[in-house]
Amino acid sequence: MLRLIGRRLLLMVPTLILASILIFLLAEVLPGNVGRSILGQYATPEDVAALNRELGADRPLVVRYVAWAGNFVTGDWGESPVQKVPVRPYVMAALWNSLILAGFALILIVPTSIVLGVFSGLRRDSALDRVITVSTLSMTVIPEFVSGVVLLYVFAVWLKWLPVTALAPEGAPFYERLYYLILPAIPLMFLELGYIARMARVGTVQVLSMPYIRTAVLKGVPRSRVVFGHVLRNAMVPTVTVIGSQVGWLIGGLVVVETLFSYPGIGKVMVESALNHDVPVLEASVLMVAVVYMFANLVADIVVALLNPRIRKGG
Amino acid sequence: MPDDRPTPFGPDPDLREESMQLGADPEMIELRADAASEGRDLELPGGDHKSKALEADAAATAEQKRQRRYLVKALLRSPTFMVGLIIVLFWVFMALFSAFITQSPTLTDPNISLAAPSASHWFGTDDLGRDVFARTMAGARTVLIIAPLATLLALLWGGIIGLIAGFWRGITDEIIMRLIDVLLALPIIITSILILSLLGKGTAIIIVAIGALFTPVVSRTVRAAVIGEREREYVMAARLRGERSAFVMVREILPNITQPIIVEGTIRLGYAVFTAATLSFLGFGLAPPSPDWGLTISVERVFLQIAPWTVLFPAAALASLVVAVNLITDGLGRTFSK
Amino acid sequence: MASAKYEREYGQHLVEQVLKGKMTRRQMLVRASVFGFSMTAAGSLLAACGGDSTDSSSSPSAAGMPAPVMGGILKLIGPAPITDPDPVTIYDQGGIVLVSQFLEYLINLNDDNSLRPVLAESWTPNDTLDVWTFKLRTGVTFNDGTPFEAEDVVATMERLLDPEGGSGGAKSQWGGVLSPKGTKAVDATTVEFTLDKPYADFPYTVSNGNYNSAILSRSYKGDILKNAVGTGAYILDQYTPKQKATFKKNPTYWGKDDAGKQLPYLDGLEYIMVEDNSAQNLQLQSGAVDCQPQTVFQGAQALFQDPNLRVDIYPGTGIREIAFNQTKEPWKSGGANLCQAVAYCLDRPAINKALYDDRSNLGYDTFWQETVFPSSPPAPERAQDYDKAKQLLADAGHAGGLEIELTVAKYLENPQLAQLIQDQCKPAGITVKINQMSYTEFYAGSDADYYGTTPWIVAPMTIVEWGSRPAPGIYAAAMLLPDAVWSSSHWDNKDFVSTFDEYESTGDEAMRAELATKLSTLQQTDTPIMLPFFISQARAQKKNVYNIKGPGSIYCDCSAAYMTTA
Repeated sequence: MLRLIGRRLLLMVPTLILASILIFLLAEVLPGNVGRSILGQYATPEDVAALNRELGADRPLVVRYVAWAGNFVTGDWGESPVQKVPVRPYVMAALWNSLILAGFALILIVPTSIVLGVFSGLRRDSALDRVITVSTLSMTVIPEFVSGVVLLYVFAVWLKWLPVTALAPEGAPFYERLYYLILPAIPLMFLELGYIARMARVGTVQVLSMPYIRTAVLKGVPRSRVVFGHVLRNAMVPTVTVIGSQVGWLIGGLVVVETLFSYPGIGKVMVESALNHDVPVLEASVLMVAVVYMFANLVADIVVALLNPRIRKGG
Repeated sequence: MPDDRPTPFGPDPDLREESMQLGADPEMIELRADAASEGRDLELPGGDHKSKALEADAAATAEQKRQRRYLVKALLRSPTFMVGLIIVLFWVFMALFSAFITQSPTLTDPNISLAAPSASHWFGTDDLGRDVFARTMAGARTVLIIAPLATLLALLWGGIIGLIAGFWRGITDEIIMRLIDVLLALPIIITSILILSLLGKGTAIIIVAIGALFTPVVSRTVRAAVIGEREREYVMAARLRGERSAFVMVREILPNITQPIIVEGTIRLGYAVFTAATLSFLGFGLAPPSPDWGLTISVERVFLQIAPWTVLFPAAALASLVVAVNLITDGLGRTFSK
Repeated sequence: MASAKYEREYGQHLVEQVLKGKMTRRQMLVRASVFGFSMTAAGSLLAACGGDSTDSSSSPSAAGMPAPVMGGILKLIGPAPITDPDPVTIYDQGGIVLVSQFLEYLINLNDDNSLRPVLAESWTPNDTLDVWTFKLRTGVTFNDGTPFEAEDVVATMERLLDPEGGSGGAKSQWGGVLSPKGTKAVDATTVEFTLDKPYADFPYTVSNGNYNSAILSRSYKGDILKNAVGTGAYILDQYTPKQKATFKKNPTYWGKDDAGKQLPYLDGLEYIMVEDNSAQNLQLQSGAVDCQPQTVFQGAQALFQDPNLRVDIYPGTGIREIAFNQTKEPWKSGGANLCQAVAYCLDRPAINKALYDDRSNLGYDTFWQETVFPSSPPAPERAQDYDKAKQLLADAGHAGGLEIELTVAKYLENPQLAQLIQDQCKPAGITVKINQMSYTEFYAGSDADYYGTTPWIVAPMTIVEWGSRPAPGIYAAAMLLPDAVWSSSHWDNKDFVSTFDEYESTGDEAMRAELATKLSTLQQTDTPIMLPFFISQARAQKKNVYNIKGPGSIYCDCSAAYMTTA
């Protein structure tokens, strides 16, 4: 097990290196350059060229990459040439915001989707099953800007139940921050609901077909006890496995929700820094998301291993 | 954009192949496969009985035909599948013929801008005074061109890569899988900006871009399915006969993994609709005056409060298509699993 | 005024123009302010014309304001600055609004394009209009305690004009007019600008109309976030990129209100950065913020209807320049006829209705329009006329129809404008293909040859957005002269160039009016660019927010703003 984890951790290194090279290339192929982003369209080419020289953005790609990577590895993430602020706190604050939002969304998703999934699994092939399956799957593929816009209108503007922003005022207590996050978390929840509910359903169906459950039901053990005692726990296993693979996506795919709800998260930082050729910020933010993604997967694998009855029996 | 996720029909292909890749620890393989894969056997039990049929050469073709007929019949009896199909056909019809039925989707008339739904404009008008009904109907066109073609492209590329990686394994497999890992670890929005800025823009480019975005996931699924098949008797037999690898892959393995590929395809189709709309929303997709739904929602969003019809009708249209594709997916999945 | 003789002569000239009916009283006041007349001096001019001395600088919200209330934090909402808000290089709305809270200019623009002194107390030109002398306000200190003196003005100007770096925006307004070393400190409170050529509109270029010309301390090193030293009513307190900036009031601010009360009234400001317009609108409606300095008309109807909000409308001078690149086909061979053909296809009132809620001034393809710049002659109107368009098309040799490409950035309402142009050109047989690109792409170009590669300059037909400018000459100098670097039309009309030089080097208002008519006719005849409208601006705020000053809504002078308890 430890060997396995070690190997997975080692594999992250080449992945991250490749990713960082790709990102450098991205900044290279996008139209414009950092000097132009800072000075705007009305600056003369001479001014832009001078600024690029000053920032070292006119050096060959390889030289810039090596210089950046050297500093990054030693923990020096540099300063954003565009925002003139140190990269590390800027990116980490955005990442932290996104993690809170994504984490909150996950907390909403897991119980909801498990309940829905178990229900539809218990009534396999019934009308309810189909309604749940199709509607949750459809929610998954309805773009979050559609659901987000409608939710904003209904709950924040029309009914005024929830705030229109995602960011609570400074110094607000934690529960108030969560209150502000309800509305943006719902579109994210929709996106994940179908998939995770589906997993819970599969798990339920599978457990129900096990001989010992059938025996228990035949013996007259109350249905609720069967469901809570066995089905739920076993349905958790496949559910947890998929959550891991969703975390990275949740964080990385936040762009639209963050735009819609004006939430200062990592998704917005990535897109803005890409468009502005703010390479240090772009590199740091994308790599952090990649790291979170890979760790989430690893953790999910470990959790599954711990949850699985066989490994518990085996020791 | 949800492309780094495995299929909603179970993490099975994904996890099973991953566990094989982790090879060194047999216990881990077992428990992971155990934890995640059984769902697949319930939902999509591969081609177990089929492979038996294939062993008996003569009976094979007849059996396949019979099975296909049975599947079609079962599908036609499946209400979810039929409802989905009818909705999709409705949009296909509108994509092809709405120009002859509705008003022009691009004709502006600022004097009636943001008019509420009425007899002359069933869905009202947008900010430039264009007929929202006409635009909603015509909006099906871009989506129905982009999504299926992008899906086919992803299936083609993903199929080839998955077949190669799964069949040859070894170092080829290792390299391909590492690259796929990198692509999956990069946030999807970054990957799409990268692709679109490398390639330019236009409908064809968007198709290629979405196809490319989905390729890693599809190749993982296909690879997993191939790995499941490659140790079976009929593949062994073909190899013993001395068939070339390409022949074995295309003629022997491919027909036996069509079901997971079809299901994967319908799932990707739903996501392709989603992704095309999201790219438009973020400004990387289509350009006006295209009545594309994603683009329309993104542009007209500012009028949600004062003229909700400009946004809600295209949103409902987009949702209906997505639901329809899911109904079809669901119908297919259930029928295959019977 | 520095010279009493000059004041008397020029004042007399202005009064004569008014009495002869060549100028309106409003036009006279604007011109008088440009030439540095104080309010009292201008008032006596008005009296000489036999008019009453009504205040010309009234803002839409000025009427019926309650008495100022002290205290409170005003929350503003708007887009984040694209970069750090360095006043030397800013070019976007977020940057301008932020900077104008803690920095000040020599002069500020009023809503009617007249000028009011800020850090300059008065200014006056020499007889040939190529040396301008500014008297500075005394007793002003920067918020780090150092006194504000002429050396700071000189340092600011030299920093902006630095050929290695400097400010693209400022240099564009001073091209051919003010060079490095052209600014001199005569003594601690007197600055002299020696121009390269006579320039009657010079004071505009050192006003907040040239937003890069904010006065910085001579010790400024380009590190605005660490060293936000200014003379403004507020002090930058905290700055979180892309999220929020907070300001606290400057206790030693020099400004006093008419009653002699210390400004600012407010305790501080917050600027909340939100890119998305509808998100901004929603926040304003929900009451989370007090004011949206710049409201975009599209989708703002809900704000107009909201009983808790007041939307001030400013007749603006911003434009969407629709340029026909005269070096590219079909315009190169089609000439004036072809450009005019397109111009006669436009249904300007309809576009105004669809895009600006019917609130902008219509434009007729010339900058000299009385309805926009009061000191200009009236311009002949251009209504939609397909017969004429077809005739012009035939005259240009395109009787069988024409296919053109319109390049546009996905920015503001430009894509919608492109679609309206496309649709309105159709009946005349002109097929418009829209080439939409991202904002960055539209303004990107190669390093080696930016102006030879960037789409907004080289594409055959473009839509370019321009913020407001206080005078027609400033627009023309930036985009209609052959040596203007921002010329998307590449128009080169010798007659126009020589007339324009004459126009900008005379202070004789009768002559200026005559030359303006000629310039306007030349511009309309060739139609190198279409100007279907001059865009009004809007600012939405809660009903208890008062006295945020413009001009227009791009600038947001909160030094005398206050909030009543609603």
